[in-house]
Amino acid sequence: MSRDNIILEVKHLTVGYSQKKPVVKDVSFLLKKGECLAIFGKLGSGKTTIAMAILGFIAPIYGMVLLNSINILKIRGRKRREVRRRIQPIFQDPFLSLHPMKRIKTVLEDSIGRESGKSVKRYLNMVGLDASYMDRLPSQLSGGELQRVCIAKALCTNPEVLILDEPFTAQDHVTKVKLAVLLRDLKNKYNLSYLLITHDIFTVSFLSDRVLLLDQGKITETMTAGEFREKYIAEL
Amino acid sequence: MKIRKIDNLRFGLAVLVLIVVFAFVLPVFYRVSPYEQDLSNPLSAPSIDHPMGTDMYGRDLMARIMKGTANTLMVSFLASLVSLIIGIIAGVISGFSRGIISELVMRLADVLLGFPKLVMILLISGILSRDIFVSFFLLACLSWMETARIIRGEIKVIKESLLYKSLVAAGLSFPKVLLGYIFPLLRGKFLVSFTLSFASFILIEISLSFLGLGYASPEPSLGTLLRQARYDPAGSYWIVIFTGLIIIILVSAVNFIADGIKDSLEENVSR
Repeated sequence: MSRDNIILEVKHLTVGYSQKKPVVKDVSFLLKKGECLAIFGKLGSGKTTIAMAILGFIAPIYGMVLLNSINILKIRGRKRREVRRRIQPIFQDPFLSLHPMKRIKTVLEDSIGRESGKSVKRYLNMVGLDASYMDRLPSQLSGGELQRVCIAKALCTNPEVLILDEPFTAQDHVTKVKLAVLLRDLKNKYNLSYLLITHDIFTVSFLSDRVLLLDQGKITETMTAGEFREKYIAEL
Repeated sequence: MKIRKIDNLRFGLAVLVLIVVFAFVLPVFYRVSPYEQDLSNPLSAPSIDHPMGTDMYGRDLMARIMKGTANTLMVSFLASLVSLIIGIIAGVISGFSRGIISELVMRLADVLLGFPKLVMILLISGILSRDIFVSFFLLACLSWMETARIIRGEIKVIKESLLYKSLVAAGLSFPKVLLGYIFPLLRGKFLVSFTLSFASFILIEISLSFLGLGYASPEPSLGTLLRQARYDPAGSYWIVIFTGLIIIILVSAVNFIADGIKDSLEENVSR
């Protein structure tokens, strides 16, 4: 595999609240540009802990997270803020990810880093929402619309990697499919890389290119999306 | 149920506004000096010339109650504000820091909470400073602990929220996150803390002045007026009645406001 093509590299990541009992044990993987890599596992297997460690919210016991070959866990201060903008999370519950008192325009402008109604409109259009949403509050939007706003908010920072942590769990089936199509189209159009954290077979089989199976904090198997479909969808 | 709860707040606010008008606006139209003595007219009962009567030096009681209410409100307001600001700063430092700094702030709060408040008040007012503003500033510096604890707890919860994580991930600066996103969520807590300490400082000012440790004569405050009523001969009921009435109405109004804010916040959470 050419190293130029690798955007995110996780090396020997070990995370936990005590060294004796880590939640994530020696996890290593590569994420290529334009690829969707899924981490699939049961509830409590350590998927979200990996995401939180990559995002810098949990300090790992051991290991490295390299973004474009730079260990982002070692960066501090202003530079860290800049690096953080290149990896954006999309969380399970969009309502809890947005400020209840802030209008959508303000939320997106703050993420862009400057006031610009034009840019806000552009990002809303990218996720299939029109300019009329700018002056709305999160409480005036449906679950699917809120998740679209969260995606737009993430895109505002021009990220290279999106970490999708159970992005459709709080959505109904129709919304789930629409959002999955939107994310697939965005990935293809803007050559984005996704790290998909999920326990949902549909999401994995629809969006991902490669799949890592995680069990009790360890990667037990790596497979292509085709192999995953054969193994799991055939079983269903 | 909802209407009753909102009424607490509205009623308290309406009464407080009336008291503020009485203390700060009415003196503009009621041009009688609260300091001017008229020894030919001491302890006269309420009349058209003196709607609330006069005191033992013939000073107009209504003018003195207006000035006294203004003095009490001013010093209590400033002290509550200082206490709130210190509480917020301590709560933010303790909430965002980890390890020794967070522990240090909270242990300091525990130590200060362990001191008997009455002893501290008497110590500061009686020995350390006879200037009411200095006394109240020192008291405010020792009354931030409850606010700090509340703010610390809230910040610890917010720090674990998806909202905070998504703001940090978006690279927003700490002041932007704190002032633009966290403080608006906590403004109800700030208001409740402020109103509760405002009510408490009003009572402290009244108590200290009543004991002779507050405003110095001839400057009136609600406490000094009440104290003066003790020395007036029996029969001059109006001093105690009018001053006492203002105190009861003022403290009740502030407590109504605190209750109203608390209720409306609980209503929002349950919704």
